[in-house]
Amino acid sequence: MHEMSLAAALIEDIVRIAQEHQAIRVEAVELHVGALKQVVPEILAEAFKAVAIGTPAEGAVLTQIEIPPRSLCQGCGQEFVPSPSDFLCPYCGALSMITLQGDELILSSLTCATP
Amino acid sequence: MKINVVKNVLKANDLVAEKNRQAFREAGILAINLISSPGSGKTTLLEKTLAALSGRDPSIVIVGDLQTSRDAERVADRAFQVTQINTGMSCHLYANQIASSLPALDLEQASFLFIENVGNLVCPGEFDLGENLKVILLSIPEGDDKVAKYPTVFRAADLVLLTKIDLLDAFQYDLKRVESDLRKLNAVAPLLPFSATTGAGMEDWLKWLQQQKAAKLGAQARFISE
Repeated sequence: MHEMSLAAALIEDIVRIAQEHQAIRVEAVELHVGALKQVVPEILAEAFKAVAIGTPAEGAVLTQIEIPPRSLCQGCGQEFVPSPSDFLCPYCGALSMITLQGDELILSSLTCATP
Repeated sequence: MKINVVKNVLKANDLVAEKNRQAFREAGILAINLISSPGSGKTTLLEKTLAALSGRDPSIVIVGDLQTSRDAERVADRAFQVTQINTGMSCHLYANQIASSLPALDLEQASFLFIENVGNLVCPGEFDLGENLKVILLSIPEGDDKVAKYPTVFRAADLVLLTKIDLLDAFQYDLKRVESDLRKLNAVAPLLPFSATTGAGMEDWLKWLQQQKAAKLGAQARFISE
């Protein structure tokens, strides 16, 4: 249920960026959601709708693009796709990875109407 | 008009968390975020820990719950200072709530700050509070399958306390499964069996706390001398 907190943080950013660009209304929002983030897209969509009410982003279309996880093994240098509950390197068995992607929650673009 | 941005949605929380961490560093206090399901023994752990630390290491407790100040009342006698945060409907603490609590607390006079998060194995894992360490409690009655089911918090753990270990024989419980699931996620966090009832693991837990404090203060001294 922390999707509500995420939606509130997202709307804050959106409203500020829209104001900086003198936009009167936000029509569409694109979000990159890492697959390792504990986010349920349907709940985030509903939370976004609710939090947006009364802001310039009310009614905006939210597109969530899932970013698949990718790790780099520091043991053998191979890249691999970890499962959320298993980060062992499939090549050498080490647990020593850098998460390259899949951990992010990034606002990537807004489409706005200007006066 | 399309505006392209690259904005981390949790940046605002993370910035406040970083300020909290700086306040802890300046005060020389070690901040520990206690995360677990409801009822796995966070408050009982605190009761026992504060009793053991009292005198030598005064400790501050910040307790997060949806409602009531019951947990704060339970530890009030043994803690140097206690703050209860009622989160209302929120299933986790935010960095901001910790920041708002700090002015009323005398961080410099205490050794440890224990932040008892809202009972929940999911959401608290996503919000940095500025703590130095995350301790995850997993109680025996919850079952031996939970590490793989809730991987995010266990990935981030600095220590996993396997609480209510005295109940081990009452359940069909596979300790090896917990250990092997944890080692697919986290190479370093020790897995420490613990019982507030029998006292098992208490000495190791207190030793771990002192080691972490010494390591942190040592690192700080090196940082200052450089």
